[in-house]
Amino acid sequence: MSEKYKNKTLAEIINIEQAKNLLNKNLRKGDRGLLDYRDIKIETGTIKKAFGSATVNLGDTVVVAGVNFELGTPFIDTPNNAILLVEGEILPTASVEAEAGPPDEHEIEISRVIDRGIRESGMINFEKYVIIPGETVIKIFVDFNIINDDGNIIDAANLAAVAALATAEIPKVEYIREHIDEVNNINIKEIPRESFKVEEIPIANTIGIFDGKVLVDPDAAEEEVVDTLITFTHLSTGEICSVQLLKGGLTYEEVFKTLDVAYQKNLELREILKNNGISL
Amino acid sequence: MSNNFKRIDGRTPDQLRPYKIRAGILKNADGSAEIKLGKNWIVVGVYGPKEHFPKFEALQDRAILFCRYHMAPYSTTERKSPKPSRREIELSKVIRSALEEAVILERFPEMSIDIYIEVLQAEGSTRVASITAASVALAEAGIPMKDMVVGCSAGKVNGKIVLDIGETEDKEGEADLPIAIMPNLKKVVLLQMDGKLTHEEFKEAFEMALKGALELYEEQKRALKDLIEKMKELEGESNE
Amino acid sequence: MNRNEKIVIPGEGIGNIHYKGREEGFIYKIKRGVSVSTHLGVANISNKRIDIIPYKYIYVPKIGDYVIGFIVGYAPNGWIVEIGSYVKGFLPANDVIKNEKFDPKKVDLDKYLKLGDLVGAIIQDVNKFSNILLTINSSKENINTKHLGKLTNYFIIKVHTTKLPRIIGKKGSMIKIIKKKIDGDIIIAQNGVILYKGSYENFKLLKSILQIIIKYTYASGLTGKIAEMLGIKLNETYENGINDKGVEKDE
Repeated sequence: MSEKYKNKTLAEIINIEQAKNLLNKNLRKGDRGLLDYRDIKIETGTIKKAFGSATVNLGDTVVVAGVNFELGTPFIDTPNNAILLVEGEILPTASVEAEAGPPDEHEIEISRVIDRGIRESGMINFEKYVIIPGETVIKIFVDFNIINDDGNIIDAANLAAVAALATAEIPKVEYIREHIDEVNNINIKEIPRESFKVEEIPIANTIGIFDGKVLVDPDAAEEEVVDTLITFTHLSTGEICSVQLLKGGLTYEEVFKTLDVAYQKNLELREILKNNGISL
Repeated sequence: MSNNFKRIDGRTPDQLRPYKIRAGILKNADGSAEIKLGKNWIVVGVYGPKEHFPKFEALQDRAILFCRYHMAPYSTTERKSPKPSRREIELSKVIRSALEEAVILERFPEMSIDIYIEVLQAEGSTRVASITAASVALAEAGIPMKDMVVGCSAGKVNGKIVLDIGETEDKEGEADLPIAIMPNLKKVVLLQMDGKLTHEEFKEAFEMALKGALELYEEQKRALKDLIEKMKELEGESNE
Repeated sequence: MNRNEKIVIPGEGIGNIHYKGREEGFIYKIKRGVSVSTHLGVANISNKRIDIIPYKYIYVPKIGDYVIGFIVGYAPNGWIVEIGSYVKGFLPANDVIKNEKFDPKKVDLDKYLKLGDLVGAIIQDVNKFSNILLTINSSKENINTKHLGKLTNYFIIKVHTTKLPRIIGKKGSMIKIIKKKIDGDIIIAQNGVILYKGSYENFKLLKSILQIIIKYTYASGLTGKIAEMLGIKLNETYENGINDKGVEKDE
């Protein structure tokens, strides 16, 4: 298939061909095993202006996530719930193909997968951040940007979003309730804050299948050559809270095979988060 | 106990809503189909293959599959804005990606095949119903495929794993697992889940959705084979 | 429908049988010994051979096909011809202009063929990017040279290419019956364009016959029934199967 090289640079083509040759021999760049993640570096509080933030390096993939809080009106069908908005963008700096402009379907899919993980996991107690039911609630914004894209954006962005949320500080709900009359005149950034308590930690693990072989944490070149990409998001309880088949198809058996690998790897990433001070 | 379990619409846990598929319903489209699944009413039109424009975007080794999943403003209880939402963009992508596994795109270099999915009335599990109808429309268009693609959902409602999640069940339920398969090749081509499921529940729901998909596959077959059956009865009609 | 016939849909297995089908094939080989139909259609399985008559398929232009189309555009060195396929055809100027040396700067293409002109042509070449090169010159015996180049004063019918084998019939039996009933010139092109030169009454009759054939494509003994309707005795027509103007036979 020559067409996958359309719009690719020579360096990228070489990387892709190299990845294919290596995977055929069960090898990966940097002597990585099929079930090994690249090095992960998590740093929180990297953006001082946000209420919460984190920068994650997953090999050469770099993601920055920021959390912001605002006051807003709840949705009509959920008057007793705070609002969560998760949006991600691949910045034009991220790769040759990345383009500025409104999010494309790839960016939307990634954002929605991470959104579902956070939303469905019960990570956030949405009822806790209601000021006046049906009128005023806290809007929770989680924005992430891919600064450099070397594949497996979902796992990296999920770690960044989770780390930013888990270390965020939220304006005190009690304080806002007491000062609700003057709330239009005060700057939300100046309201006294408290720790944003998360109730769960969702971990996303993306699994690739190449010629029947299961591998984790595909880099950008590997993403091009694998037949299948699937993401499972797990909770601390071992339950699954989100699944997304991103590319290709898989046999019925492979569904459960990749699920098991994702579960094992979720434990590993959970441990790394814990080592960075992020746990329940 | 479980035998007495009844769902909000009176179905048993492993029962599909009433369904009906019709092929070749649109006169102008190269291929078309309609599915009714419960109150879901979805129409699909296929156009192509045709020359892809702009030309520089065309692929030299295969056709480009374009897919738009779209909900009509009146399809939901609250009016939906007609402009594509993020949800619709994501669903268009996962549906296309699933159908790409089946369509033999290599036969039509430089071409594009357009699939337009219009959800006229929505009542839960629209993405899998859409995919089921879209593959019938592609077959009706005479576009070569390795296999049909058929979708079905399962989920967890009130602690129980159930088949073919309806709208209320989706809102009130604990989990939703839509899948689509190629029934002869035994491959999963769409798999999503949101909510909370243990590994055991995931397996149970997956297997239930699989069974539901195979039942709908029989309906796809019937709808397509009917087209040919209709063209065989010359004698009956010539007497009119 | 006889016992060896079976309606198939895409993905339905047809086993490891020697395949005999049109176009690029209506089967897909999954692996050794396992093949499936890629189309909705009727599979005729006999003597370890299989022939699939699809309900519909996409017409893929092939070298040697006789097609009829309209001039819809100019290129510096020829004409763009709409032939009802997924891609337009190209008819080079030097194929049409033979007596003088072709010079794109001097020659007025309109003198030869204009926008909207109907032309009959043969596909000379199809490259892998689906570019179609046409010619109006043929050395083939079975192509009537009168049907090449500009065609005027014809009634036009467009049918789906999938229906052509039925309209022509086994060894040309169906079209022969039709021609027996309808005087005048009937041209069938492989892109599904059918031309008729004759009276309007006859054209209307031709159209209604074609409609019946299209509607009952899979009726068994359709040729006999059409003959009966038109009051034609069959035994004459089955003699000497004809191959109408290069159009593929039903077998």
